[in-house]
Amino acid sequence: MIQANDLTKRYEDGHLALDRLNLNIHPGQVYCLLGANGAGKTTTINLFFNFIEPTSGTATLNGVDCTREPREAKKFAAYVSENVMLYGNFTARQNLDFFTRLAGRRDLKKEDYRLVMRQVGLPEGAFEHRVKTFSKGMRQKLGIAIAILKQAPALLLDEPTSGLDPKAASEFVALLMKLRSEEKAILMSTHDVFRAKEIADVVGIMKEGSLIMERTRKELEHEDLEKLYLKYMEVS
Amino acid sequence: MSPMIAIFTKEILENIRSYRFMILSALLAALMFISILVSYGDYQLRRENYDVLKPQQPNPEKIIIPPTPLSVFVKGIDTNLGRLLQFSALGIDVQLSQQSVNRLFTLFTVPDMLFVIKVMLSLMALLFAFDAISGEKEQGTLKLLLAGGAGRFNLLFGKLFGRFVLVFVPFSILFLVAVAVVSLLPDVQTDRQYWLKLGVIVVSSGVYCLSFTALGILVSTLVHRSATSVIVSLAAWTVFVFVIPNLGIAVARDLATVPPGERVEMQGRLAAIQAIFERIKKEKSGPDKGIGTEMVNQIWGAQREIFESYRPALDGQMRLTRSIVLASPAGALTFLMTDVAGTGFLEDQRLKDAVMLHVKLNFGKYMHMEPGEPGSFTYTRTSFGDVFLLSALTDSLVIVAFALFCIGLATARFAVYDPR
Repeated sequence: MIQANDLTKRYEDGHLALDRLNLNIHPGQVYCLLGANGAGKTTTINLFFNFIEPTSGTATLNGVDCTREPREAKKFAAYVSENVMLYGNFTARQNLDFFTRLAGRRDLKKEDYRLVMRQVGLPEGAFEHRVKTFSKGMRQKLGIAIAILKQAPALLLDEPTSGLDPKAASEFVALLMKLRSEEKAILMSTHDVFRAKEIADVVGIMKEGSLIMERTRKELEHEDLEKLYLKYMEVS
Repeated sequence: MSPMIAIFTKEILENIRSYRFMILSALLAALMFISILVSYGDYQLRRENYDVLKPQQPNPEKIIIPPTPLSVFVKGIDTNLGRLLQFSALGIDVQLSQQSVNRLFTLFTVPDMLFVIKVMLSLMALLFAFDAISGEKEQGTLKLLLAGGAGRFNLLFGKLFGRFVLVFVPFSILFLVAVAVVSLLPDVQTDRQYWLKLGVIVVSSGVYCLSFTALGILVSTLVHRSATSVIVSLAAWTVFVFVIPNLGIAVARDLATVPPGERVEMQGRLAAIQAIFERIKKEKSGPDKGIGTEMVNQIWGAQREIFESYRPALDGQMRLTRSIVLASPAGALTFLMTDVAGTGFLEDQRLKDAVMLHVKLNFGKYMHMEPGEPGSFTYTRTSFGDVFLLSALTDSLVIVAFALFCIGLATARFAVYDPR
């Protein structure tokens, strides 16, 4: 579903942000990309959404090339950023309405929006409130609600739990687990080793643009992910 | 619903409740109200002036045309066009005292609708468009929009049309109200040409507004911060609305030197005085039956010579000014609207030609040098069809080309815009 083949990005200044990355994430699988700042995690997600173009290699979503057919490819993926920013003067429901229409869905009613907002754990009283009054956790949940309503088979999340309090982060992870059970393919970049271990089916560690380690949940059962992470980070 | 329509609707809903929309629309309404109030008052004064000065009986020597009701919207040089011209054996006398019917207007320029459109509407369009893309980036929503299924083309055009509608629809409503009110006022006679020309004024305002919205969108795709965008937009607005038109006039004045009209009129008077002086000398040397005719012919010959050398030079300067000023949509709009309203230089040239023809055909009869009765001066302002072919087509194409250039450049620029 989410695939990268020798995906490489070198910026105009010569900096190699991503070096021949290979990924293959299946439906119902959560892949966590760990790594320090500048490791290439966000660059990877940016390439899938064609925010930037790769220097070489391909990124595909459901087999559709993200560079050649970006609009078609984006139909298969939803995006949640580190800091979901929405339209502050719109209510939560208006934001949902706009983004689902943008994704081409016209069949939704007010009740569908309320249902999904309940599903992501937004308090009932917030549905008709302007988003500018929302906390970061509430905005992240609304971001997930947008992703759910898009009904895309793949989810790409760029450090979505960063800055969330433990309760909000835990609720967020529970939501992701639910989405996994609905056969969504999920790629999540994160700094949070504990959350990664909690949810990931596969963990990849990136450093200076390269994927330097990849372990399945089963392989990690007998290993301490934090120690492993620190070990790989120390290796020059 | 296509993504473009979703974005278009979002732009309307998001901005219609903003302070920016409310404040700018209120300002526009206030300015348009003042404009109509002052311009109608001015028109009424000129109309009263015309009623006093127009010949009550058929009189070939008095030439005056009534102010056009369209001058309430586009004043142009209607005051000059409505001056009383009087011809006699000594030449054509222009009543300069009529040039300003209200001297206050020389201190405080009348903000006619052309001014409102040229300055205020373009500024509003820019102030609504300057942050269209850079603002989304700053707000952090651009990536979500692009990832959410809005193609770059849809996003750009949804924003372009959304922001254009936010400016142009309130303007159109206010303009239509103003037209309805003015058309019901006394002294305003409407006919098919009046409505047709007003329609053209509204349509050309729309294209002009779209061109500045496109300019704002273009600037917002060139920079990544709204603060930079607003400065660049205001600089571009100043250049296109004020610098190029004024520079065009200054450059044309330097390149194609034409003596001022007053000096030409003075030369005509001097020629007349010279002819009278020579007649007095001849009268002293003995009676001659042909002296009167000779004097008149001498005066008119000299005046024709002055006019014939002045007119091509003036036309040349006008053409050069127009060519330079057309580099700006504001310049093109000024020529377009004044010509369409019949208050521009096209009308001035036509009127001068008509006056010269009238004098040429009637002077001999008036002076009893030829048989027959001289006819009265009649003149009809240029029809829209003629204006369209003579100048409006070129002027509108300039505005359309400017809009297309900005849209094309913005599209190309946004295709490679980094949303991160």
